[in-house]
Amino acid sequence: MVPKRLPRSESPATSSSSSAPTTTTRSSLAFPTPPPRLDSLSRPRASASGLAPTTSAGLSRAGTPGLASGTGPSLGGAGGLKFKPKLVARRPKEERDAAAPAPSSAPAVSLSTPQSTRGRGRGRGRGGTSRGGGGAARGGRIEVATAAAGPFADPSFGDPRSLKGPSFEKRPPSSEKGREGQLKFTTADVGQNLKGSGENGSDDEAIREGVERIDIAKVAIVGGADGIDMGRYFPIRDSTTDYFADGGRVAEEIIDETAVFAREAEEFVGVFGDDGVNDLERKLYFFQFAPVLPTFESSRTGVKLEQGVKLEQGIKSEPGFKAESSLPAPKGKINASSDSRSSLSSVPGQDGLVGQLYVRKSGRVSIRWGGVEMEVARGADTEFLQDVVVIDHADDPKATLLGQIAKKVVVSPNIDILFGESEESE
Amino acid sequence: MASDPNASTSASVAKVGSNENPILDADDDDPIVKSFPIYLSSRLASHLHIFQYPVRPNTRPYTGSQGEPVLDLRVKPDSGIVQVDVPINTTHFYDHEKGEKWGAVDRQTLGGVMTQSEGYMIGIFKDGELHLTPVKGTCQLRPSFTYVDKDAQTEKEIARSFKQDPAKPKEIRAVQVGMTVKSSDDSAPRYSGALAARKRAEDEEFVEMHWYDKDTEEAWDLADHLRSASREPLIPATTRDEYIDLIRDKS
Repeated sequence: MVPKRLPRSESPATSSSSSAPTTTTRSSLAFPTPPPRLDSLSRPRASASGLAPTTSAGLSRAGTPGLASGTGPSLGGAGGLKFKPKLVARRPKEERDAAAPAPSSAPAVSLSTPQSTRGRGRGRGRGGTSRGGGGAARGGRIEVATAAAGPFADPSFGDPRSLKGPSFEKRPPSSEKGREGQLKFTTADVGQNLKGSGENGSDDEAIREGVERIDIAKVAIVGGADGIDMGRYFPIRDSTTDYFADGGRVAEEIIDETAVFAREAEEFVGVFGDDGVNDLERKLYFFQFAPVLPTFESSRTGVKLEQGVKLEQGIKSEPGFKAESSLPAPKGKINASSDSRSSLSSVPGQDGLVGQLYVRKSGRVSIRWGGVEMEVARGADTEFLQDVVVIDHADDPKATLLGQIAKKVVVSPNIDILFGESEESE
Repeated sequence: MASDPNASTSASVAKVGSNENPILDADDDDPIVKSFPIYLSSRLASHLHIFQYPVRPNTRPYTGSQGEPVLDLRVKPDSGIVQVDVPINTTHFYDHEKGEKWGAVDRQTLGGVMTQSEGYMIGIFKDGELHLTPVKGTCQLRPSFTYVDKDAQTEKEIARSFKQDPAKPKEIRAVQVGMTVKSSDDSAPRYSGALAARKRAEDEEFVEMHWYDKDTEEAWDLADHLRSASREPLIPATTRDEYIDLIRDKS
């Protein structure tokens, strides 16, 4: 019987994200007798398992959590071929972690690490910190373990030495949660395989890391009564997810917008919210405003500043520092040298109260700047280093590192209100 | 609120837009729970820059506290070229052979170009106030391979010097020197565009800067300057309509 090959297992992202195994996987898929192709698997569960190899293999390297065994249950433990991607809105990290230890009633037990529950339901990439990709990037094998939930997670898979059958590693989670969801094997061979059979080159390394190597070939696949749910090993990956390396973040389909928004709001309030004024204070925040901002009269000279000052710089602005003289003294003169290039938002010499930042109960944040309403949103965080440096081109040139940017905030004029009100005033 | 040229300042402020708007604020469904006054600060405005290191994780900053402080900073003020020297840990994952080959000992140079920016600001919270200082420019610093360039350069020069036969004397000929008035504009071959910029950049000298690490006195003093010098409210000078026009014109 030919199991249906689902389109998603063919997505380039999957295959490319895995190291070699993808193709070899299929060919050397070894359950008791390795068939040349999945197609020929005769077990009812075969098709389901047929899907997984590519997916889990593909994902093993990328370590995407999406395929965590959490989606297993829909696979049907008792010979059902149907799978239903389980759309579960992503729960906040705490909940997830808390939920991790309890395999709960789901027939598919989360495999090994707590991160597997993170994958359960394909949470959103945003805010999901160390994903498999990120974990791998950092050299953290932690997250990878989750995705490595199949026989194809073995990096040496496809290695001629391992022809005896695929084996997979179950890595102990590095978190303090300890192991959860231990795989239960009914074969005695498991014990043998632990501590390495030495057949795979990576065994030694695996042993050193305390990784259990379990040879799937020796595992009874009967499932069901024997307590082995193959669904665990072949988690389903939802076709709608899109995986790509993005600093470890995974861009995923938004499942439930309101839930998402609520969570974002939570996170945002965390930025400006109540958890400790101190936290707010020690950090440098990067604000991105529109290049055009409402202007202010200079508080010093009372001169109304030029409006519509050319702002052609934009992104392709001229390079260069245009050495300024040394830092102005606090009472400094107004550098009206404001070279015609100075943008409204960076007119030197303007100090004073320009607006208010409001945080609402829902977490929505807004700014009123010069009377104009602006929407405030959290900017995309980056995982790379961003420093704030003060450069002084005085006689004694010096540069001072103030610190790293903690969070990014984007502010844009609230067009609805802007246009709404101006109509009224006419 | 018709515009009245004789309106008092406070009225014009009201029209232009104040920062209090009870109508908008009183949203009972979603009340305001916290508010911060925002101050614009200019003291460091023309000196504030962002250094981005796309290849470096933010968990490993180049600071003394991490054991990897910036060793040197060089800039070419007009071209905007920035170079940062950072240390390399030669104990781990370091290929000594290559290290010797390239003559790059214990430091690597990251390079980038500074571009001016708009609309970016750095904000700090202090005593329940938000202080914003505009950012002058940003640059992205990536590993540069100047040592490879140097090496290639040297090799080229060596090759060139071999080609030229030093034994052959330079020919000395009598040449009639004629003077003509030539306008240099058209005849002299000149670089243009990107090449010209490149030449300019190459010719410009680096300016060495003294680097002060984070958490130094210097840094703390300057961080203080991020706060606005004044708490006076600035008077808005743009009405909403004018602002809309500004936005429209800009695009």
